Amino acid sequence: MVTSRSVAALVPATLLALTAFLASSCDWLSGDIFPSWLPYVEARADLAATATEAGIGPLRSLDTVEFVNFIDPADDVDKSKILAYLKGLNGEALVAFEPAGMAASENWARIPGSIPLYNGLGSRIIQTPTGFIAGQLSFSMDDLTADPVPWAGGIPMDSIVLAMGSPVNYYVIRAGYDTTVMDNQFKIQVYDNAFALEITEVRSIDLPDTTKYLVDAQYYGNADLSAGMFRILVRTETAVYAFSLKSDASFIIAAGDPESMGPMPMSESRAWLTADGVVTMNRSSETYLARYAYDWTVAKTTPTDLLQITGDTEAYQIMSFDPSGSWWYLYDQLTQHLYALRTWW
Amino acid sequence: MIKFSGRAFSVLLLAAVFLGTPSGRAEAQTAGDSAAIVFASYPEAAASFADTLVAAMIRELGDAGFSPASAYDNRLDATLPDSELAGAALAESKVRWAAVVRCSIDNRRVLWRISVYDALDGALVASDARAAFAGLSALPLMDESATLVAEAAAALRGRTAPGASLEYRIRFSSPDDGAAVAFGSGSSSRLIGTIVEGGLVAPYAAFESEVAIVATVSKDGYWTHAHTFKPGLTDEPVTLPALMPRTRHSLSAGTTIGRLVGLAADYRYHIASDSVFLRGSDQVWFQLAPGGGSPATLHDELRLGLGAYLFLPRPSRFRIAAGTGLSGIASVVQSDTGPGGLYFDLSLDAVWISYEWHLPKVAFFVEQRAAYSFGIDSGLLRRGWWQAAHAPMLLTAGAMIKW
Repeated sequence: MVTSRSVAALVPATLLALTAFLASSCDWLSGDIFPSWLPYVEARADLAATATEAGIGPLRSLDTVEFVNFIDPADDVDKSKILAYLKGLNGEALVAFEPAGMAASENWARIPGSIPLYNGLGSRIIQTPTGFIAGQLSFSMDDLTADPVPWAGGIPMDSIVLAMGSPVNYYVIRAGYDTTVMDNQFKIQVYDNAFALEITEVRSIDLPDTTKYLVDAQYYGNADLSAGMFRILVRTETAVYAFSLKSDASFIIAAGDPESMGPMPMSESRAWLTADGVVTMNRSSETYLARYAYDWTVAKTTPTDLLQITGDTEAYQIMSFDPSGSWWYLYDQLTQHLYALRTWW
Repeated sequence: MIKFSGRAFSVLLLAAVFLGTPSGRAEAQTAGDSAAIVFASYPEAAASFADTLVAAMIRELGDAGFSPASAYDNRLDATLPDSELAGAALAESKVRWAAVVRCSIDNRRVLWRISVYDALDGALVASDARAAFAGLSALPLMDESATLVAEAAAALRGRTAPGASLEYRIRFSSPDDGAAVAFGSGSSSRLIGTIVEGGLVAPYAAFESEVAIVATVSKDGYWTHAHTFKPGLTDEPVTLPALMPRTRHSLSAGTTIGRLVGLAADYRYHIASDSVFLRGSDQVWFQLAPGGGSPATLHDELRLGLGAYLFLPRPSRFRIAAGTGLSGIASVVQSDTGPGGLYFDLSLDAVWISYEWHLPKVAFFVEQRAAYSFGIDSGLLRRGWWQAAHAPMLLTAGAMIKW
């Protein structure tokens, strides 16, 4: 039997509990059940269904997502695609999605005992002036239904390859510590379309640490290198550094020391170069993406803006940022959905 | 034992003292247990019966929970009435209770009377008078008489001093015009009138001041309320709290932490007033892009469920409601080129708990809820319990109107 006396005792106890509950929840004022990045979503793809459709069985992992920008010069039609490399229980598949709506338009499956040509399919994707290379197969964006062509080139594991020009040249970029000269170096090797080595250029880069990995490399400028710059992203154990080297049509890289920016803190080995700055991924008590706009005049950088990631952060995999700075891709491992998102800046 | 003489009866005075020796009313109310017996007899023939009575009273008072009694050993005039004898003994010994025992012989009959008085106000709280053949057969009757008196006195050990009688008519004020007011509650209540223009003057009743009075207020469509008050000696109106209406419908508006750019509306239909209800609610909110640079996402949640008030009386000011139901959330994610993806999540509104403070027409609430998403393909939420940014439950606060 509940009496008025027990009610009177219950009221302050409940109010106290509520007060404690609210007081301990200051961090909750900004959070709903939907992830913070949802407003930036442009489209979504169900990779589980895509994997099944590609015939590789249940999806195990997503290796690569790259945006391949391509305006067909013949008819000025935008034929850009989002490429995703999926690994399933029964094989692997490269899938091309339409950027608008992320409908799967083509897929190429590497399944044991299936089409031998596709055995050369791989997850490392290089954008070329006419299409892209995935593993050891070269695809033409003009006609994705055509069979890919085997590519004779090779990609060293510690390098990033850029393909530019017509006929195409391959720029194999590395960064490392040269034990002979005891120096941190940026190295670029240029191969012709037959993959014959033409030029090798080396520049010293100023790093406080000898432990480093090449994280990203991009070229912004004219394809003939007459006006542009190479940008690389190198990470040490705790931070990432960006370097910018002016291109030169004759010597690939102009004379002079590269400009540098950093350190930019990061807790994972994920960072990306975009036209609007460097983006790093950080996981601590909170998970967030930080953008550092390019500023080569200061020694220490602070984030230009942040995007806090809420939701099942452990399940989120940031796949890539489009070099133009327009798009980024997030994979939710729990739901097996791939999201294409607009950048927040 | 001291014997009084000179009268044709015996007087025995027995006092049981509680917790010390009270000197006044206040002290008497907190007095302890002890006893004293004063014994006087005339003629001698009554002495043996008087001794028996005194012994029986000492024994029975002890058995009834009083401290062991002792004889009152001062001399008193046995011709005085019992009440005066008790008053004199109580004043001198400063004890709480006094039992006066008279015993006399009339021809071949023995007559006795036992009376217990309370020092608090001098009231007679127990008494028994009998007569019997003056022989051995009278002794069991004396024991029985002592037992009855001791038990009757023990039943009133907790009595308090009555207040002074009220000399005015009790006035009530109430916001509930038309409400009937009765003294007492239940079938024994006595209707005293109806609230008119916010007030009622009750017919005169000889209530005592500082004694609790129950006034029952009732009105069609409202929960009956029993209001307890203690009138003072001065004529102060008694303010009756507003009656709680029996709720059939309620409509609320509120907002949710994390959904502050939006509004929730909730309708409840009470299957049983203020007890069990069906609810339907809709909440629309915009999820803003945290870094800017993008249109907000529009969410619309529809909830259907069943709830009930728990634990507390239905007209309570403070109430706890809980329930369960289903939730469907439609989300429209805007793209640069216009309306983008449309998503739909279906969840089990597993449990919600609402803490509410009720006034007659409105109530304020804070609601917690835990929901479980079914993780359907068309949705954005994975299968599992909802997880707000940093909390396992969503908090909603708002106000409701009731009718």
